[in-house]
Amino acid sequence: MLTVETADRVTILAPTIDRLDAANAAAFRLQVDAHLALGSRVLLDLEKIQFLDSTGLGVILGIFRQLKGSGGELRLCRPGPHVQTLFRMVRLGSKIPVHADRTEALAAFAAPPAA
Amino acid sequence: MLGDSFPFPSPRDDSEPVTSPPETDPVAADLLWQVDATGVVRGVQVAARWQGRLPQAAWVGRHWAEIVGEVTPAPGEKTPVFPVRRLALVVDPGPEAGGAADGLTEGPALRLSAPDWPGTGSAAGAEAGDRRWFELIPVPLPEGGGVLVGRDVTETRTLRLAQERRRWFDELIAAVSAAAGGQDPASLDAAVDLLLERVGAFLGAMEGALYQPGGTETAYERVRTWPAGAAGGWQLPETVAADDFPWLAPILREGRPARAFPLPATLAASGPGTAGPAGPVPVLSRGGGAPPTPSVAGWLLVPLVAGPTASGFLAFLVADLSATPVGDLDSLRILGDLLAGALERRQLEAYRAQSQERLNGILNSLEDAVWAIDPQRSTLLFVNPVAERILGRSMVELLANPGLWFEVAHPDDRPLVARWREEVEEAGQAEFQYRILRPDGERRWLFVRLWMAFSVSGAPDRIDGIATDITTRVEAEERLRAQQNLLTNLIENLQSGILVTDGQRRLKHLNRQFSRLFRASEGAACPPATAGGAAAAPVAIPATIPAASQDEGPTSGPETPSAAGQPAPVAGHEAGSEAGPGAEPPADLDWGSLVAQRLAFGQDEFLAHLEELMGARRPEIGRELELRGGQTLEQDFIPLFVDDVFQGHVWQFRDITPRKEAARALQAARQKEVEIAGKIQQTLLIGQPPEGLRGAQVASMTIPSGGVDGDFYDFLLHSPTCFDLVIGDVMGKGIPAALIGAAAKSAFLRALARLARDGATPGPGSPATAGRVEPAPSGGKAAAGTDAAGSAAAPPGPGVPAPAALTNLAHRYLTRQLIHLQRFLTLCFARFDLEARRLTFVDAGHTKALHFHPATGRCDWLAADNSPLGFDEDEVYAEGEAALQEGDILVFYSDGLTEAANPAGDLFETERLEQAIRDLQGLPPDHLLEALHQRVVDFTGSRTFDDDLTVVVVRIAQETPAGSGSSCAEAEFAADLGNLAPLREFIQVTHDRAAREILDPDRLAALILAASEGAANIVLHGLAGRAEARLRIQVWTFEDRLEVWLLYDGPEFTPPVVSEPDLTQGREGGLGLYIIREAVDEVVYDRLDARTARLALIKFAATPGRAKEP
Repeated sequence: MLTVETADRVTILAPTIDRLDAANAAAFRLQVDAHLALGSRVLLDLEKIQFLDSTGLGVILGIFRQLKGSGGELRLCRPGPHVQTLFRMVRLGSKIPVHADRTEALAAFAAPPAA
Repeated sequence: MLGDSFPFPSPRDDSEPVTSPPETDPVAADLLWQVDATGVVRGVQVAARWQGRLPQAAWVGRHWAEIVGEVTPAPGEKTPVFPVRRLALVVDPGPEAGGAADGLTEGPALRLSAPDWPGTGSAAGAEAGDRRWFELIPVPLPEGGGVLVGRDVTETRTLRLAQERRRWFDELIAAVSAAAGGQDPASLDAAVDLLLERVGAFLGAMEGALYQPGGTETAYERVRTWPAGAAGGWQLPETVAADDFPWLAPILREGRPARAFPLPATLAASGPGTAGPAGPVPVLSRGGGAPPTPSVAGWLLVPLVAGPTASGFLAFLVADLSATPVGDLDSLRILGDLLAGALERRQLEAYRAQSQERLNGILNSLEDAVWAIDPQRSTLLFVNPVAERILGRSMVELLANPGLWFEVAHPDDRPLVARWREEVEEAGQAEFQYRILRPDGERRWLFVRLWMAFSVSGAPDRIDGIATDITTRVEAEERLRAQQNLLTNLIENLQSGILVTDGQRRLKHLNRQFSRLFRASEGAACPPATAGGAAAAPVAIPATIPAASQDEGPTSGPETPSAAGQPAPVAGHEAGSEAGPGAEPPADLDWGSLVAQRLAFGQDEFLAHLEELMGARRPEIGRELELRGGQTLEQDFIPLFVDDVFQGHVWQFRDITPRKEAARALQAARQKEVEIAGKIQQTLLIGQPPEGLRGAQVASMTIPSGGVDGDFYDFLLHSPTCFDLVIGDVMGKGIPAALIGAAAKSAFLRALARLARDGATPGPGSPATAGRVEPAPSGGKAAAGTDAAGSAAAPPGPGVPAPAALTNLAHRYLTRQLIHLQRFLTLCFARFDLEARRLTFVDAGHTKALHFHPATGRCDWLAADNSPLGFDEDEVYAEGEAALQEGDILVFYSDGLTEAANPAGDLFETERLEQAIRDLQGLPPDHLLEALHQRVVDFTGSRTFDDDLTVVVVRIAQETPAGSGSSCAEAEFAADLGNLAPLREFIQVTHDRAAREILDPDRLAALILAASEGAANIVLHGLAGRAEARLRIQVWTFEDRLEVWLLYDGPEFTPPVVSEPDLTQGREGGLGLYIIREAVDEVVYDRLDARTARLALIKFAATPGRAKEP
């Protein structure tokens, strides 16, 4: 369901599922939580996700808030077209940074205002 | 004895001594009658000086008694009676007198006087002839008969008469004086009686009486009468009214005896027997006795004068007034005066005795003590017994010490009264209010007034004093003061601001709360008073106004600078500082301006209104005032009247700010409630026109009136070619009407479900399932689709109950409750069978639907004669039918349309509706509705209406050609989130199988996203906890759009109002719904039938203006 890598002290979480919806969102969240710590810097790579619904979106937002509240940071990268459509619909970009690829995302992590 | 008759010597009356008449000298006879034994005069001789002056020849041959006017003896009686008689003869005055020469004339040439000596006769010169008195002395002769010797005794008699009268009167006066002088009232009465008797006898009166003033001013009553037991005969009246006798008043006024009061002529004419009632005056009213001669009889009055007026009079009824000698009248007057004096003295003494008694009575019954002091000797001249009671001391003590009144003063008050003597002597009078201590220890309040009484010479004569025990009054005043204090305290502690003005609009009182409400320092915005006083000066009010009653000490009112009419600031009283007593509001405080300057607006209007109120003296309750700073006050303005006398005004100000705020909150809540109710109406009562119909276009419109109305309508879709329209209107408005509308809708759904279950052969599903929907999937791959594009027009199917059956069952469900609630509703149930081109309807008293046939231009009104639901439990609803043709337009509406009124009161009416449809027939239904709405707006001149405006337009269209219209694919899933992915797949596949691409990938993805969200929502909420529940999906493919219907057996989904979620705040509750709204062009939540709820998601192809960008 999820692969985990670490680069530049950033945890890269890459779902291996193609959809994140009401059916699997809860399970996904449990798996993600296992890799989160206080102050974690997390990059969520959405490359594989073809379908995302409001529940899945809720999970991403939950991760975001959890990290932000503990001094951590969440970034997203490589959303598919439909996911991008959804992000636009709910104006997610204004809350969570979304990047085209991992390099761009990691570079953004590298220059944090408060490291 | 005076008045006695002389005895008549008679040979046959030996008991009566025959006295020798005096001066009977025959030689000196002037007249001789020779009378025979029968008494007839046989010869007459007269002295020379009478020759020719007496009717000698006339006497001869007549009986002597006839001549002298006495009885006529019976013929043959030989009784020569020769009484001594005195005759008054009227003789010829003689040659020396120069009178008439014929001497004794006719008539009573010889006339007898009255028999009584003193009262008869006079040498009245008033007579025609000389009246002379002759004394006839009988000298009987032995052979019978005799000689009557007559002598002229006139002179002798007159002299003797005068002497006798003098003596008589003197005796009478002495007797009356003696009688009147006695102290015994009875002796005065005796004197009166004596007087009446003697004078009456003297006058030869028939009756005499004393009259004294009676009850009225001008009437006199007979109080004593002589003779006492007079019965019969002529009588004096009981009362004499001055009005009846015009001559009476002058006589009494002049005090002269008078006698010239002849009897009334009427009396004389009618005689005594009948005189009384006949005459105008009830005088001499009783019959019997000899009638007085009218010409000479009358009454003689003797006024009793002792002072300026007569106090009564004596009256004598006299047979011959002419016989009363004038000289006697003076004597009578003396007698009258004497009597009057005696009477008056008696009255005066009676009055004195009475008044002294009364005065004593008054003084003794007074509540006040009265006394008099001799200032020279300092002795008490008089004191009434009340003094003992007031002071609690004996009369002896009082008499011994005239100053005791002040010596018993309470020690505290003694200085007040110590100089009482000096004060009254200096000022002539003095007043003291002080307390005394009684021997019994009781304390009393006295009010004492002293004044100096002076004698005629101007020297101090007496010090008079009056003392009043005012203890009760003082105590009452103290109680009153206590009550006033209580009242003042009460007013002070009221939560309302109170201001009291008097009748001259001057300030009398204001309480603490008033000061708080209007204290000037709070109004920081008020400019401070400047020297010029251009702006309204702020008015400071003392925070506390003391009780009004301040008897002790001078009232220390605050200085009230009068700055040219400016409201005077009260010096020394900062608002908020609880000022002590002594701070009174200035009476000239301009309280009107004071209140006005605190108002948020409308100061001038307030003052003008105030003037009007005060002028009219009418109360005004509950006027609201808004103050600067947001406070709201409620003002009562009440004129005060005590016993209808205007006393002033009371103002009351209540701070109702909290109440107003609560009211505003309540109002907002109500508004919210109305909004919610409106939303409920929109969702509960108003259905969505069915989409995907083949052979008809439907549009509906509801313009809410702003409240909640009872209009409702809904559609029941049985198949793409068969649907029902229920449109109705509940009598009344508001939430009750809306609830009844909802109940009516529900009743129809219940009826539908019930009938479908019981009566009809179940088809492949419920009446509303797609089993009887004939979709035409172009690809034919739909999971449950049935190719029906070309199938023959089918009736709605055996599972769909007839409209009449439905209506009657709903009627059964509803009507009893409606009757109970005293409500009713009109309704039209219309079933459109588009394949059979047939309309079946039930009309329950609703507005008649319009059926317009463009082909012929004809216009029908669909109506049956059933009554509204709720009228009659026994009503049986029947169906009507109409054939439908392509192009037909059917308009269903509420009476809000036809009864929309313009300002003139004209209604829109069905005529205008028909004309509008004729004019607008070429438009598609939705545009037609818009144009119709515009017409109503133009007609009424308003965009808002009193009633909801509900219109449903159905246009019968050409049946959608197979393949070019819709097709439907259906699938069914278990209600499990795990089936979301297959569901999405089904939509994708259905779209992909279409002959061509209807939606571009982005749009399709958005539709799939919305469908997935919707399905998740249904599974989680709509079908929550129901493991066996199924979720059906129908994908309808149209040329211009794709529709996804999610059908499930459960409660209709009522979406909340969805706003853009705030992603940062963790409020993602509405996120799914928000995504649905954003992702598709139309969302329909409704109910296909009683059981099946539907969520329809519609996504158009990129048609400009209809679909939004995904």
